[in-house]
Amino acid sequence: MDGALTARRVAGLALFALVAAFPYLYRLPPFDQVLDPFRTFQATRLMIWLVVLMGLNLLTGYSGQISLGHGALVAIGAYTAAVLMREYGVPVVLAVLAAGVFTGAIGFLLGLPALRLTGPYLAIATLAMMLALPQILKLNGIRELTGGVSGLLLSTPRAPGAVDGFMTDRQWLYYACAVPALVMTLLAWNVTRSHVGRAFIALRDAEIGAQQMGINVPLYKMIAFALSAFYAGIGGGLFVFTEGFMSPDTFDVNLSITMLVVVVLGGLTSIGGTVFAAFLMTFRNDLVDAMASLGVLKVPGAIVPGKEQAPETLRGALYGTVLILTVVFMPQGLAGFMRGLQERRPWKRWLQAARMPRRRTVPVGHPASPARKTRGGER
Amino acid sequence: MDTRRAHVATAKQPMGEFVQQAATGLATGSVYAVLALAIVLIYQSTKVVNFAQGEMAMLSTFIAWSWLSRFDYWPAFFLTLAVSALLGAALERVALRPVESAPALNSVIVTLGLFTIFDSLALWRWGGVPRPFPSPGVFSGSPLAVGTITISRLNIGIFCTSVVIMALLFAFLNFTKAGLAMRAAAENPAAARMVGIRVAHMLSIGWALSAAVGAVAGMLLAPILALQPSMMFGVIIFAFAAAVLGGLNSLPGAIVGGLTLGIAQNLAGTYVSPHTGSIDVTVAFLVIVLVLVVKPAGLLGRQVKRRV
Amino acid sequence: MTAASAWHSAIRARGRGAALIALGAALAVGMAAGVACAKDDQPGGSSPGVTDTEIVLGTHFPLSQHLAAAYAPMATAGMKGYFDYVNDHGGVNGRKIRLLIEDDHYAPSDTAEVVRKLVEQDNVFAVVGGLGTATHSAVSQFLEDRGVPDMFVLSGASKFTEPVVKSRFGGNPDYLTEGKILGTYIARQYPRAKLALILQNDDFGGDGERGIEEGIAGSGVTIVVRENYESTETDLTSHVQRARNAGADVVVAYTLPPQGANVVKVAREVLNWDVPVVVTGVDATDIFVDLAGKQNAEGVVSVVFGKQIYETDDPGIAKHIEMVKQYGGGAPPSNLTVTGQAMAELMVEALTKAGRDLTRQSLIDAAESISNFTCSVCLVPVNLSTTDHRPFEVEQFVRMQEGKWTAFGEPIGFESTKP
Repeated sequence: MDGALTARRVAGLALFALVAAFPYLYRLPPFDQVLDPFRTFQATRLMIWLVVLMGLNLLTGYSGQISLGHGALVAIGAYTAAVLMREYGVPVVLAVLAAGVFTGAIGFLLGLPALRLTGPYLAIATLAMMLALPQILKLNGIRELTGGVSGLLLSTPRAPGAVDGFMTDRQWLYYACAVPALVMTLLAWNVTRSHVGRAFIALRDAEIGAQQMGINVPLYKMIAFALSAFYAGIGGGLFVFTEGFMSPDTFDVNLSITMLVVVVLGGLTSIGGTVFAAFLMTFRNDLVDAMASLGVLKVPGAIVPGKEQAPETLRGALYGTVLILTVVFMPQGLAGFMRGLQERRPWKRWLQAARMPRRRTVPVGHPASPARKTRGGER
Repeated sequence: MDTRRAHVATAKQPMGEFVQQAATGLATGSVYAVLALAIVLIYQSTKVVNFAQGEMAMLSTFIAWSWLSRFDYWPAFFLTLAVSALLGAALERVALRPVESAPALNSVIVTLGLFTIFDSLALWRWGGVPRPFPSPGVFSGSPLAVGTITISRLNIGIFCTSVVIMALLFAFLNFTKAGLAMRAAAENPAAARMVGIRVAHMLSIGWALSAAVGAVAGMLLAPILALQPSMMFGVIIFAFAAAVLGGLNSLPGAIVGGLTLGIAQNLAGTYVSPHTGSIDVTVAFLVIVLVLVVKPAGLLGRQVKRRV
Repeated sequence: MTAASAWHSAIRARGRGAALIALGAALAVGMAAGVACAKDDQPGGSSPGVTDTEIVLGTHFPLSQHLAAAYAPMATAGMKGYFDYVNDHGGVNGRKIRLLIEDDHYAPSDTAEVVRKLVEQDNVFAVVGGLGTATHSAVSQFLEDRGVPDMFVLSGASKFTEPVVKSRFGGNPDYLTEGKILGTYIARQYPRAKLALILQNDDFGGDGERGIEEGIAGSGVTIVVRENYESTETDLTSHVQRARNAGADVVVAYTLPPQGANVVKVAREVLNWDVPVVVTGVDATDIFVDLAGKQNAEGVVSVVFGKQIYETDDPGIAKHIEMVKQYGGGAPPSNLTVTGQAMAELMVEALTKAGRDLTRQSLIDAAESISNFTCSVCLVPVNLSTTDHRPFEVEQFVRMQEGKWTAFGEPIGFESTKP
């Protein structure tokens, strides 16, 4: 790795510096118009989502296992960490790590029944898990531990005394989440480029073929589940640490589904895609609100006759429509779209075309004309 | 002030109670069964698990409701079936066709998107306040008493309707040319095309039929569940569990699965819940896991061999 | 080493080193800035959100993407409508009220986000009528830490008002108090009854259960069966059957209207069971009657603190209907909007009493001094004090007669503020 100062590298460094200094930026002139401590809160959330969604991407993107129940694993991690911190006074770092390991173990066990499942079955099973978890958390036997319906309240997270004076609680929380997020992202980066990652991809694309090639399919399936659960557990632990509150309703089925959705939108099988996904997840409400404020939500009112309710109720419809449009037109997600742009560099071609004199092109329909798009026939 | 004493049931003996709870479980299960039929139908004809099934049924029921103010029950009923079928076919063409050849995950996402859209549309158009929906005249009236057991007529009606629908669909899919063509199109589209089957056509028909069945389910369940956008939230997962239990590729399985799940839930509620608290969803989850571990094809399903 | 030569060294060094230097530089700059102005992040003073002409209030409500969005009109038409009405009639001590309603989709993690936004970006003076137990639980600690007045929380959970937190006040009657009131009535009315409890499997049912137990304590009433159901269950036939089999002669239901109606319908129609049914005030709406059927619902008893929307003869309700028509943004008047207005009236009363010199402290003191205040759509008076942050501790009993909830008897309550 030489020290060449490519444009790309400089941009990368600048980005890194931005992320590293983010919690302090709102005090500096160009940024204080757009940033404030609330944005730091959102940035902290983003880091947590990055960890959680990375796990989901490893499972669904790289290994091709559909999971609608990732939220349940995050909840398990959150509860584990909460109980450890609250009942046993375990320090945060250990509690979060323990949460990750415990949840990872559960994920490993979940891999067992999943071994024999294909797509739709797995989706249904994980959905059922997601729906059953709140009820399980409220069961008489466990209620004392989990706080039942009322949930668990932790003390407000505070920065350690050592940093008083130059770091507020909120800034501290940002770093407390950003560092693990960075580490876990690097870990995922390494895994996906190792033989484990290649096994995952083989698993996704042709399970039977993978078996023929000597890959221990059951083992890698369970590793995929365990790893994604580990990420979920760490994310859950960080979440409960920064929020200070956890209830059976906090991670509900809507959230689980949304997580899957943003991972797909961001781009499966791509670390960059997960970063996009984390942004989408953190700002999804803002995005929907922004689209709504464009007046889009007033349109159906003009078309459908009769009394209807407030336009806000249509936010869900907007969300679903965007979702379907993206999956249909941009199945590789944002990351795929960016990759496509990069590879094809349409702007270079446009420039070239603009500069060249017009030439007789081959007529459409001629055998030599550029290949027409063919519909995927075989499934 | 009312001081009428309650009529204490004669079924105070354990056996009588067991039988009554089992009977009630059958009633509950019939609710799951009728929805599960639509789910299995779509899976058999398109190999897609339609997570929006419940919401489609709910929307159909709202459409029926808006016509009830102008028409009698049965005309509104059949009109709704027709409209639902059309909407189902349109949905397939617009939303599912583009992801037909994409990985399964994409169609899962599309049906989830449809779920959100329909839920939101219903909330926007009719509001979240629950409203009553009539049951067909033939199914209303005082409950039937068989010995010490009481079952409501509507539940019996739902059960009978499910069986009839199932029989019709079964006959269609197994003994008619069109039905067999539909199954062929779902199981092996490439081969089906080679024999001249218009696969796209078949998919549309599959969705149309399933939407119609869903509409029937919605209209029969609304009197019990109360018509509201969230009406199916509580039952749809059990319908999926029932479909899995019975076998995603078996129509009779949907009914068997539904009834079994209903009984299991009710018995668990009677004998286990008093000690643990509510466990209905937990039971469904455990049932799914058990089935998938022991016999993934379900009680009545066929094991599908994947060829390389 | 000059900055320039350091820069050149960085260029020549391995990429990783350059990254480290960049990181170090960025952190150093940031921390310098941090140290230079390291003070509280809190927005200024004791009266954010208050100007000479305006008071900015905030609330979190489900407006979309969740079935609880059915409650939206409580805030959009009831609260906001009433505030707009007050603004048009002179405002409060010369100031107009601006209510920011944020959509939390009834998801606690979204609530945490929008409330932080309200406090930190919108600088609201106070939060009024935050809806939902699970959702508000995610923010009650935050609001308390920041000293933001958390007024009239729309949740029946007793934990928000006990122990008393200076900056937080309850809104609708909590289920514990309500359960006590119902239990007291049952103990009087059915001295040796065997009770069946049908409870939603959450705080709502749990608090109600505890309240009933307290209300019947010391009497001859016993609880013979407790049936828990999940909030998504809509057909409670099996629960009602078990209640009957257990020999109950009074049924108490802590249910939402659809399930409550289902209980009554099943009992009367399917099981031919004439058992007296007592329901939580949450079910005292016309939805309950619509779903259960007038005949089945006849005789059901409940408690309320506000008037019913169909009492159009009542001047308070008549005025409310007009208000909603004009300021409600198209939403129909309903018991939901009535509750919303009740909360808004409480807020206006507290703001008025706080006077022109409006600070967060003066607001809280003013609220605590509210005494014997009956809002225009309420049936019972509100009393608050430094130890009592529960506005409605007394409720009026109603019985379903011919499709309408009709008041009877004397209000029963556990008013903890002595006159």
